[in-house]
Amino acid sequence: MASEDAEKEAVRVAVKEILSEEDMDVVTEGMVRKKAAERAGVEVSAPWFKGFVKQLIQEFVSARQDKSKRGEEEEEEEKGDENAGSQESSKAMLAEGEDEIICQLSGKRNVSVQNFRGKALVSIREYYEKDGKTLPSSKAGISLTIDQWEALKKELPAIRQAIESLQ
Amino acid sequence: MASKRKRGSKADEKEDEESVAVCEISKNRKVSVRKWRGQVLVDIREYWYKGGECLPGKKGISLTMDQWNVLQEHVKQIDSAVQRVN
Repeated sequence: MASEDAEKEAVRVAVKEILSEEDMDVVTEGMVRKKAAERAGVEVSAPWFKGFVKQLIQEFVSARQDKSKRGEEEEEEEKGDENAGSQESSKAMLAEGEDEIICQLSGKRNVSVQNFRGKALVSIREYYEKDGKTLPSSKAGISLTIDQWEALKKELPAIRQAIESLQ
Repeated sequence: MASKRKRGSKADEKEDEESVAVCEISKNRKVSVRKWRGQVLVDIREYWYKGGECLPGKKGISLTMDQWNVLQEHVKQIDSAVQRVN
């Protein structure tokens, strides 16, 4: 029987292949797991398997996001928002547990969209740096469900009006 | 309702605080706009009820006008990221 390390290496190669072949907007984590197990000749039931595949997907997705974000920022400066729609569609899906930073509000504050157990959350939150990573702090911030985010959007005119009345 | 605890612990700070309750975005979450030390803030916060009184909770964030404007400018981008979760 192959050692776990060798199996992991085979899974790593398989997952990478699968992710570059598949349409990331359509493929699910489960599909990737199944295919990767077949290609790498590994049992799906191995205790480390599920978590390991998840980790690989996350690595892949965030590497891709970094790339597309960098490209986008440059383009946005030149062209504004006109092309936003077409660029968005080429971006990868947000995997479970993933947190994509949309914009920076201030040095520490970010708005991000999070996939929390398959549901989207819009998070307005302070972040802190640790080991070169930007991590959400639990102290200052709020994560809105989609219903709450939609409600907030609907109230934008009322909020603007309130701001004017105080200025 | 002006927040009574935590923020503006000094009495004189409370004096110049005006607040406009704008809307509820869920049963216990509200958006309010307030003026604090001459600065207008948008507060998105959870509230809880005690003895008929509505008190601001810990969960929430107060955005300055600069921060609020950046958020407003990114509504589209937020929506498209939300789409990619489903």
